[in-house]
Amino acid sequence: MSGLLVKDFRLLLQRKQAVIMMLVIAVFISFSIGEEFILGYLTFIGLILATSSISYDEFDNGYPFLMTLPITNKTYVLEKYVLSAGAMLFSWLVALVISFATKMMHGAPIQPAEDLLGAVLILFFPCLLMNIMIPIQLKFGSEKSRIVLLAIGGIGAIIGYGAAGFMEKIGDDIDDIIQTLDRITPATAFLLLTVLVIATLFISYRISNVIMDRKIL
Amino acid sequence: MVTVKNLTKRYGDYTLNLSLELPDGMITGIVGKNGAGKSTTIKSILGLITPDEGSVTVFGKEARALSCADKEEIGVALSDSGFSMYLTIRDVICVLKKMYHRFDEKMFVGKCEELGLPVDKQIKNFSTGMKAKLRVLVAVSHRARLLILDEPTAGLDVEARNDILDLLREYMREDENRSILISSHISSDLEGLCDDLYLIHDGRVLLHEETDRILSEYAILKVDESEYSALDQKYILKTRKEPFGYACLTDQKKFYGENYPRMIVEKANIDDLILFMTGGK
Repeated sequence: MSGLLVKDFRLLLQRKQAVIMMLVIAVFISFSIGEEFILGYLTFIGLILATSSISYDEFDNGYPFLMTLPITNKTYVLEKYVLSAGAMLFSWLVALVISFATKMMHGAPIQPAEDLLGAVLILFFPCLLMNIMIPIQLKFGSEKSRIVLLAIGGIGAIIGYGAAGFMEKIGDDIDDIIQTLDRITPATAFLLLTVLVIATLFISYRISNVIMDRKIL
Repeated sequence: MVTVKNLTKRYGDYTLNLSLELPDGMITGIVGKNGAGKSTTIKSILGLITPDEGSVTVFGKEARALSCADKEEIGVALSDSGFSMYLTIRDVICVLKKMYHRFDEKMFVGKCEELGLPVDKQIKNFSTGMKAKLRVLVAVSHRARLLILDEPTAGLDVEARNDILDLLREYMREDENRSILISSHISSDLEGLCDDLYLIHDGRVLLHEETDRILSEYAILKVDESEYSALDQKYILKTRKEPFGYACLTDQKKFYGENYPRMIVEKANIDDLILFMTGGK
């Protein structure tokens, strides 16, 4: 797997100018909009950069040769999750440093435990996105996967809108639900999100392996 | 080293069905026109596609079940697939060092210099010849026991083709137990390199023969109508109608040379073989 990681890291370095530009934007956002936003923004950028390595592999019919290297389909899939998780974690840490630095420069009070827990909770959402994105990228490739992700987002919005309407009809107030969610303690939220991320990761990884095994090279 | 037994792969109306064997220490060529089934055969041997029927074994194991250690023993160059075009050779070196325990960096760098391959330029900026040389160089760089090369010289000029063939000859000189399976439709490349050849057409093996025998025993007889009617056709493999009469492919050059001394008997090459076997009457 280390060979694949080196390959993807080297490909990532080819886009170092874009990465630096995004970091500059992140710092600007952190100073102007607010330090919370940057945590989600940079982590998401890290995820996008990592999953785009799948497009590089796919580009110019790269898969057949790649699969003749001393790796297995499983190793390939695992590497994509390791790379994405690593990229997200790294960009999240960078974002965390920038956000703390911004806070200090703005003279805002720093509460390490509380701020860190909030930052960790933000990290779960890109993790969930990773679990959706990797199998979709592997299955549909770079071009079609954008359309599929948009479609999934659209379907999700329609379902959410429909569910809210349905609950209103049956008498449940959506505000009550939101208030109930608000009452969840950060510790409970942490636990629930951990379970959700691990469960979806397991399913996502299994699906990705099946996709790779069935891929026509 | 490689055994393909009744390999069957269907794509709609097209069916590939063949058997072949690559023994230790041999260079075996697969020739045939475009679409004959060369790449499908090679992909099956590499475990990239699953046969519908039959078996493909490499080092005595099912091709689809080869371990990473087994794959380290195989060097591969595919005509239409390779490392990302955005990488440089310096990047490729880092990847190969991690991928292959026996990657010979010194040899690789030396050969890059010798073949004029710049190490800090992205592969996408390489010429066709440079890309092809790099693909073969990668395949021979980790002391593999087996090389599998799909059209490694396609679309190249004579000089680039010679560079690649020299790399392959050098690879074989280093260890007599190594084997190469090479597909090509450039017959002259295979004539000077391969020990034996499989001629594939429409997914089937039309001929399997030692290269030396093809070059020494196969011939084309050029005969007019009267000569043709008097000709013993026992050893005629294929016949083609020509403006002057008939051109006949035989694998018994000596027989016709001795028994028909006035007949035009021309040496056959692999191109003739392909043309006759896949298009002759």
